[in-house]
Amino acid sequence: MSRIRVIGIGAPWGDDQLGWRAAEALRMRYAPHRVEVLTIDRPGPALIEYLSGAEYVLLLDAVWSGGPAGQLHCLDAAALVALARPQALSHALGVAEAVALAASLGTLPRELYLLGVELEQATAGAPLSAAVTAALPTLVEAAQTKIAEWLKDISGPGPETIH
Amino acid sequence: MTTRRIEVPVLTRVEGEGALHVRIEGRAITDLRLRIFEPPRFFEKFLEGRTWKEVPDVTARICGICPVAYQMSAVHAIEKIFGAAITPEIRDLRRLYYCGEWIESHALHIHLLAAPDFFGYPDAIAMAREYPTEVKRGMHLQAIGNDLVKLLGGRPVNPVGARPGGFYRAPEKGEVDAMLKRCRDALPAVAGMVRWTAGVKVPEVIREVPWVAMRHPDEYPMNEGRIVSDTGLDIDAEDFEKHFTEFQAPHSTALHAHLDGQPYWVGPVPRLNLNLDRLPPETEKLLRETGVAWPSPNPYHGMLARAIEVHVAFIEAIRILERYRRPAKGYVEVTPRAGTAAAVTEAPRGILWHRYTLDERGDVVHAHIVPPTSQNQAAMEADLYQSVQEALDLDDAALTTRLEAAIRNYDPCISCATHFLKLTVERT
Repeated sequence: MSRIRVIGIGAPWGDDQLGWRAAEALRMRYAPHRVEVLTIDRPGPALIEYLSGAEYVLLLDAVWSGGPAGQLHCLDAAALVALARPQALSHALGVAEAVALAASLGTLPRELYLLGVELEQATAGAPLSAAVTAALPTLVEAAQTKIAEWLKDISGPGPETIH
Repeated sequence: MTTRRIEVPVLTRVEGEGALHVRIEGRAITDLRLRIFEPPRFFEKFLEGRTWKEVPDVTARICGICPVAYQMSAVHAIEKIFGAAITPEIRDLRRLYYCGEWIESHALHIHLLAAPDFFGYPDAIAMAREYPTEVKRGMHLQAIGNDLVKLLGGRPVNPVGARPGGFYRAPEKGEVDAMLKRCRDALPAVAGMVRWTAGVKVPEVIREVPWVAMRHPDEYPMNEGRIVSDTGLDIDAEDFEKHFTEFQAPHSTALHAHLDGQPYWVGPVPRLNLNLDRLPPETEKLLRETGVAWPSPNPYHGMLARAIEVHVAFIEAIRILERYRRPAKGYVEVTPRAGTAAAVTEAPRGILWHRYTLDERGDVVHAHIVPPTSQNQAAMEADLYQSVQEALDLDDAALTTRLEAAIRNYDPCISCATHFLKLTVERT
């Protein structure tokens, strides 16, 4: 099993397809035994299962924070946990809540980052917006930089802690 | 005299938006309203003019957690109008699809929504720190449920695989074998979850409200059966409106419903109560070993009932997956014709009744959908009234916690019911 996992999260609506598109672009660039690439549709709490078994996980998703469309976001696990609204847990559990739950369960990977792009719209039947399409290469490049760091960590000298 | 006013302005750990307002004067409850204020969703009107093929795709959007139920009640009604007969293999696949939904919906409710109430935590994230094994197990089972829905629905959210006549695609043998292994491997975890939920100490209360569920000659009910109650009701889905009436309460955007003029209760507890003799032998044995007496008049047994039903769903899923042979085609052809028909299936939260009128092309002329949460709303209010009386000596914070737990017992899906939670208690 590869120790690095990339998970494109999304839905088939407008800019919410971003995570899938970015993951697909990365899939071509790495051998599966080095980097495992998954695309998943609004996983809710099932994200916890998708996080397990890998040491380094990169989540790719569209972000809605009220910033300018196309803006790149990078959040580590602690930042995601801080965004979670535990009281809001319902059937519609979001990425931040799922990561917070995984943190409570003690099942977070050694490193977890979310790279995302501010969305413009998530309209049924709509393609990616121009602003998000333009930001896609930047997102893919940022993802590659992070993956390169992790690949170096793995191949680097020194003892490794694999449980 | 003191007035106590308990307000839960936004109910948490329920699906959708609602509120509870209670006013207590001395020891008398002078006002109690469960308000549902998600805007009405008008799905019945959206369906008008749509073609029969679109119906299951539209109804799947009514609920993010029980889309399978909405698809199944719809396709059964449409097939009835068209006079279509599905094959035993497709019937099995529909039951498998429903098993997936029961597993994911129940596992989620037990671990993330209900359990924190019984262990004294504000939410599941806080509870997970102290009970990681149990919550991890629950999330693992939930993920299997999701993947069963995906196997037939194409995706776990807003699935699109179901159609009148069957499924657009029958799964490959390899996919089925992989699911079979995961389901078999999970069985000890499912039994562990049942024992865990049975061991949870719950308040001992009795709610004297009629139980309503489906009943099938030889199966635990999901897709097929008559509508029965513990008060002697035994009817076909077509006769639903002769006995059940929906009415608007001014404080809520969800319709309330009565059975012969009285509140009634649908969902896992009534369903298990009325179908104890339809449990698979393995589940029956497990239920007996827990030592909890069934049938139960106690809504706090909802968590255990859900766990039992997850076990039923795993046993059934394994049985169906074991004998799966890939059909040449996932569906039978259907021929549109005009007519009106009703169908009912057992959604995770209780019976879900649909009736459609279609024209000769199969376009929707009229659609009527009665979800389980609106059916339970009158029973929930009656329960809350009793819950307040039983807990009058508690301070406002403790009373509020108790009432929120009482509501969660019903796992209300407010999004589905609106055409619906906040709590306020006023005491004088």
